[in-house]
This record gives sequence, C-alpha cells and structure tokens, in this order.
Amino acid sequence: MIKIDNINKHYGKNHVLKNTNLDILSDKVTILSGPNGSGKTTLVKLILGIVFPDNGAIYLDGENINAGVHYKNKIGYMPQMPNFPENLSGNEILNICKKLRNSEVDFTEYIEHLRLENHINKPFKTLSGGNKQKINLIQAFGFDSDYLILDEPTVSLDPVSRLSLKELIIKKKNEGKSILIITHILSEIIDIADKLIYLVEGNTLFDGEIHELNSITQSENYDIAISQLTHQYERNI
Amino acid sequence: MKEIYKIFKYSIADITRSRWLLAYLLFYLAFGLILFYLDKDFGKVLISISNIIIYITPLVSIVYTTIYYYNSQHFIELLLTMPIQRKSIIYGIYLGISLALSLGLMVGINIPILLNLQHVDSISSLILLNMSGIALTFIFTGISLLIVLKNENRIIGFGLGIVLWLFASVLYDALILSMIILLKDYPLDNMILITTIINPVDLARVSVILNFESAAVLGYTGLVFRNYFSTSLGLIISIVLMLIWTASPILFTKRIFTRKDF
Repeated sequence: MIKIDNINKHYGKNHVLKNTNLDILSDKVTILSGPNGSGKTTLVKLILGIVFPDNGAIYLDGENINAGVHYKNKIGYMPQMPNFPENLSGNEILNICKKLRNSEVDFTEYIEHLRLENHINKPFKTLSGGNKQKINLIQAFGFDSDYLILDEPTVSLDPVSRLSLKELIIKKKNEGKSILIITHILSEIIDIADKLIYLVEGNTLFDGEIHELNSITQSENYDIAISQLTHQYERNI
Repeated sequence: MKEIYKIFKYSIADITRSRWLLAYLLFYLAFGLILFYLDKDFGKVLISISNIIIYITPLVSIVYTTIYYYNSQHFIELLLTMPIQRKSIIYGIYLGISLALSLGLMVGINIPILLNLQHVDSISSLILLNMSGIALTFIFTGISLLIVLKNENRIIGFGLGIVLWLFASVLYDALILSMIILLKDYPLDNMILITTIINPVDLARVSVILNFESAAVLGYTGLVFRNYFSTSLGLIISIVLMLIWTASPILFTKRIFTRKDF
C-alpha cells in the first residue's frame, strides 16, 4: 500500500497540495483525476521521488520513501510522453532501464505481443508515436513491479493497442499489483478501475470506490457525477 | 561509480551519434587543415587554433549542453524514478556531454596536426592546447548545466548561456583593455592577475601562450603572468586554477540537482 500522510506542497505562493491524506491500495486499479492544476502530477511526482514535499511523509509498504532510492525498484512508471534518447534504439533504451534496475528480465514476450520485433532496433527518433508509446509501456510493465504508475497511458495508442493495454492492466491487477492511473478522460479507463481519487486545487474532492461516486451523485454518467461534485465544492468555498 | 558509469555510457552513446558532434569535429578538422595549408609555421597555426578554441569551445559547450538538457528533461525525469542516486545521474550526464565534446575537439584539432607532424616543434604547446580545450569544455558544460537547472524556461536558459559566453569570451577583454587604458598611471599588475584568474577563458588563453617566448604572442596579460610567476610556476598555477574552475561548476550543479523538484 502507498500511504500519503498529511502532505503539503507549495510552488512559490501556489499551494499545490493541501494536507493530502490518501491510501493507494494493493490489488486495485486506482484512477487519479482532476482538472489542470489540481495537483495530481505533483502527487505522483512526490510518490516517485522527483519532487520533495514541504512536510508530511509517504510510505510504501510501511517504509518511508525518504529512507533511500531502493523503494523505486517496486515502482514501474510510464510517463505521458515517451521522450527518450533519440539516437538510441528501443532495445538500447530498454537495456539502460534493465541496467539501472539491476535486472536481467527478458522483454521478448512484450516485444512480440506488441508487435515491435521489426522496430525495436531502429533509432528511437524514427519510430511512430504509437511504437514509442509501446516502448514506454514495456519499460514500465516489463519489470514486474508491485506498483505501476501510468500517466495518461492511452494517449497516442490506437483502439486495438488501447484494448491490449486495458487487458494488461487487468492481468497485472489479478497478479496482485497496484495500478495508479492518472487521466483527464475518465470515460477511457474507468470501466477497469476500482477506485477514484479526484483532486481539485490541491484538495481531495473524492476518494472512494467507483460505485460510491454513483450512489453519492445519483448519476450513472461519470462525467456528470464529477461535474456535480465540482459544483458542490465550488459552492462551499 | 558504477551508477555514474551506467548513465555516462548511455549519454555518450547517444551524443556520439549526434550530427551536431560530427559537425563540431569537422569544423575543427577543416579549420586545422586550412591553417596548415596556408602556413606551415607550427607556432602560428597553434596560436590561431587556440584563438578559435577559446571562442568556439565555450560557445559550443554552452549551446550543446543547453539543447541536450532541455531535450532530455523527460528522460532525466524517468531516470529519477529508477533506483539510482541523483548525483550519479548528473555526474553521468555531465561526463557524457563533456567527454563527447572533448573527443570531437581532440579528433578535430589533432588530425591536421598529425598530418603535418614534420612541422611540429613543441609537443608541450600541443599538450597545453588540448588540455585548455578540454578544460574549457568541462567548465562551460558544468556552468551550462547550472544555468539550465536554475531555469525551466528554455529561452531564458539559452539566453543566459549566450550572454555568459559573450561576456567571458568577447566583452571581458574589452572591459579589461578599457580599464588598463583608463588606469594607465597606476600599477595594474595585481589587478591583471586577478582578472585573468576570474575568467576561465583568459586563463585558458594564458596557459597556452605562456609557452611562447615572443612578447607579441604573450600580450600584456601573458607577460604579467609570466613575469610574476616565471614560466613553469605560472604554468602550474594556471593549471591548478583551471582545475578549480573545472570542479566548481559541477559541484554546484550536483548540489542543485540533488535538491531540485522536477
């Protein structure tokens, strides 16, 4: 479990995360959503150790992440934009990731499943957006990490690849992995999610099971349900 | 060290395949060949090459490092999510850029010299020329990393780098010259020494020309430097100062990188 304990984060005068307390549970697919500037990217960067909190702590499986970098071996991260070294091949990029993680894992299954055999040795700059995203996907999923953090994973994937990705996410969940997906577009991924965390202006507007959202708002449409919650929040402040 | 090597290896593999590096190498290669074609006097050629190195090397180091860092920002963020120390990432990238550019510079300037080996009469000058070029590459790569880490905005980062180059390579000498003219009635030797130490470009220039006997080549700064320390002592001091200049920016860069929010 990832426990976010009373985290605050400022960028200058901008209070991006306000006393945030969250639990990201194991064996679940959790969606982290919110409008632009809501703090979702900052929250993920805090978990990944890319950003430091002003105060509070983050625990991964009970261990404070400030204790060292070894906890990062438990996390696979798929950034939104696969901007990797342009002159290296996909294979070389994946090998770098393997070396940095001290892993001997074999990616062949993924490469074949994603039909990358003919592209994996080409320079990264010559690949299509979809193939670049597939390499991004392999470096995130390929290490069999306990936690997967996916930033807008369906961007630039064709419908077939999107479906494959969803199947992969469900497979990983069934293997006991925790998956945190950051997305703007709920409708694209919510059908496979168990939990939703919705942030607005650094506050947690909703943190619960997907079906709870429907029962609170009396709406089957997720966009309408979120819209109702947001209006309620705006009236209260 | 193992972690630094892993980052360095990917970084240098990426950069050495870049067309920019090839263009840099070819520039020095063509320049050296033309100089030897025009004049076979090794001393003159060396001075001309050193003058070009002093202007071009800092500029290329600044421009290339700035472009490379901003283009690699997302990948650096991905590296930060891996179980690797932050300092290893920045040292690895720094070494990758500096050594790749140094390699381009050394191959570019030394091939024409090797082809004209019969005219080479001072190996020490040649070594100093290479060392100065490498030191300038390392210094300005470190300074550029410092600038880009402090500036998320590409235009500001790039602009600051160019302003720094303009100041260190072009304006600085003009300012010193103006000061010398204005204060000609006062003893200026100590001031000249200090101003040379402050600017790594001047320091690199002095390190190369100290080996030459001719006053015309040495110039006022070089003469003051040599008179003050004698040639060998002056050389050692200038090398030590260059090493301090090389180490300082990257140590500051590491300090910023390990505490930075990305």
